[in-house]
Amino acid sequence: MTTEDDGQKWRRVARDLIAALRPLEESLPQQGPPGVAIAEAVHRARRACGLWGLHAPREVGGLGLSWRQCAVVQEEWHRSLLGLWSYQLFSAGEFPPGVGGLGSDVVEACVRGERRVHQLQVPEGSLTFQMGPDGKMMVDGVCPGVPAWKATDLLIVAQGDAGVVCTLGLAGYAVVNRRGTMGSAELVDLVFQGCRVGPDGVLEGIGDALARWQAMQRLQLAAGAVGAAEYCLERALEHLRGRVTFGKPLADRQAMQWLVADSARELHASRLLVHRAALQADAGGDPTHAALVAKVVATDAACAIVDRVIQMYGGYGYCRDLPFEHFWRELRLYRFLEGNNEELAGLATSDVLARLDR
Amino acid sequence: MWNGVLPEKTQTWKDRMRSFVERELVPRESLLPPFASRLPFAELRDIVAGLRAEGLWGLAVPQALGGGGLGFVGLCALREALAHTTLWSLAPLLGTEPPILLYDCNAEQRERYLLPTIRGERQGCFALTERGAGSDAAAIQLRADPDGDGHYVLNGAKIFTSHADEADYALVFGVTPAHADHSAGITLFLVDHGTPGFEIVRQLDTMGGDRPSELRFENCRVPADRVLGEVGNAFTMAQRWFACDRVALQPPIAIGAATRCLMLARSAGVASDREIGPMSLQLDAAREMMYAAAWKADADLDIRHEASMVKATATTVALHVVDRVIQWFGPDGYGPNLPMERYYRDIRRFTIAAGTHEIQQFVVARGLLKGYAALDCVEGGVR
Repeated sequence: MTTEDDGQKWRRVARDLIAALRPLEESLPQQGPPGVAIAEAVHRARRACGLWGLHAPREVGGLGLSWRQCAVVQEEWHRSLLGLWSYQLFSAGEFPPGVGGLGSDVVEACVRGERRVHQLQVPEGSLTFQMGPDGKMMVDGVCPGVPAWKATDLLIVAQGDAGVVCTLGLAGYAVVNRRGTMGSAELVDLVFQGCRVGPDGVLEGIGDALARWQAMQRLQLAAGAVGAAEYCLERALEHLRGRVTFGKPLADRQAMQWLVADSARELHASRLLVHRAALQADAGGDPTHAALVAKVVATDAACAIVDRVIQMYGGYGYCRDLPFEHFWRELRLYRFLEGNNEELAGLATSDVLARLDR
Repeated sequence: MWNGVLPEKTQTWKDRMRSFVERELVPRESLLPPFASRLPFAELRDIVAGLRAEGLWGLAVPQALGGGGLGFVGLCALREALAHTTLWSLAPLLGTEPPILLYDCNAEQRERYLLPTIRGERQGCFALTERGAGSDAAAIQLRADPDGDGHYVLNGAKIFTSHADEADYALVFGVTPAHADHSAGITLFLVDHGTPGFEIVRQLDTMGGDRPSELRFENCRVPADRVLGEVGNAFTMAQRWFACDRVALQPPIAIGAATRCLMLARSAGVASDREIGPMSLQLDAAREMMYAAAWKADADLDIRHEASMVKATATTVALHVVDRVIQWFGPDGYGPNLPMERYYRDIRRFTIAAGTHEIQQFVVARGLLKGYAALDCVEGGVR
């Protein structure tokens, strides 16, 4: 079976899954994370159709899908508001790729969905890491504004090439100040005060693995943004064809056509960048740069596109009767999740110009 | 599907073109007159000789026609490299614009027009636009009536015909009446310069180096064997040509020019990476769209929808980038000692020629709203 065929197969599976789950959208809260009942229903449905552990290797119980196949699945998932809770609902069963030192029992538990592991890379100097005389790593400092889902179980907090594994209940490590946002995400602050992590929880030489993991996450965000924007734009096209004002369908109005054209161009570019990064990773290349570019372009574009969709629907688009305002509120987070887009674009300048110059 | 990486052979030729540009063309930029795209004959002769010696001539022409066979992806790559000099505007004389329309020539026309044009011995110009028919090319009025004696008689006028003054022949679109064998339609004629009744009325000055011409045809008799393709079928041919043009002629020049400007801004330190970064990403995205569409063109797939998206994106992004770089440099960017102002003036026409930006937007939207096109048009995609 070729990669193309595999992708087509998993796209269909994901699309069918979302179709089956779509009625659950009605139960989603306007703000805050989904309830336990929704999460369990999604997990059951995923296991039933086999969409579990997408990227995890087959030998540990995962599907072992390629980056491109994962991107395709992510595009489909994001065609529903459920998909925008990916971190809560769809990260279960995922596998931290290539991070040595976690232990096979932890890895397998993650793939089974019994545990979750996330990563948080903090800028140099924001935390103090110091090896104590007893062989334990002492961590001090505060990480503000961390997505709450990252701190629900295992969290690898890394600075440069080294990191520590934090679990809830670890002495000196506190998750505080939980607060809501305009979307489903909640934020917390992580406080490290005299936190001491034993040798089992100290990870070294993990910079490359974390970079690759983060690239994967950025690519998933980008692919999701493509799927969400595409779904909203498809709905808008139907609306423009059917809605008549002053005796003509909105589709015949140049002002509307421009909104469509701008959106279509941005969507097409985003999709190409997602697939470029995924194909690069699947070919064994370093996807860091390409995934960053895809993330910035696709998430910026998705917000702009859904905003235009709201405009095309007018007041209805702004209302909660339709899902678009909700899509927008959720997608807005993607523009700084796993790196602020403006910051990332600045960091990418050298690499992008070098590529353009070739 | 396009995987984001140039084939090795294409990359090698692109690198060679870029080296040639840096070595032979950039040093001659100051010879370019402010409002023309011409060089002294001896300079141009040396450049052409150098291009031929490097094997850079006709690389994108099919191998069956004596070219390098690099296709549309290769054409985009070569032109992107060429655009690192303001002398890119000499491109029609530099063997980097394959005469795509002439690929439909019959055997006799092939010897008379196609092959000499590929070899650089003859040059054509594209005469479609009329005063009342710009982006709406189907509205042209130039009449081409058969005289019953093996000729068509052309009457009418053309405007904005680039390079007409230096061309040996013109590709002229005219309306032919209904006939027993075919319905009324638009037909393409090969008309040699010097044909009685065909004259260049004047050249139009523009803000850039292009000086397009206004042409007049008065009882201009053209032999019937100079019809290119089938009678009444030229609009279909033109659409195919426009699709390629919108992907492989203007976008790579726009992207290459904007890239050079951004690099100059960064090396001069006139803007921060926070300013340059987002623009470089937009250029990267436009470039990806261009190569993906070129890849589809090489696979002989329909690219009309993508072509409009590529042109609309690449030309507007590039213009914006060059404008910003001028702003960052201030008076230096506005003056002749740096290439930005020349680039801006030359590529400004890209949002007008070959279908305005507004028409591209219309084409994209109409395709989606009428259902001719899909939002996911990544060929080889998995939908």
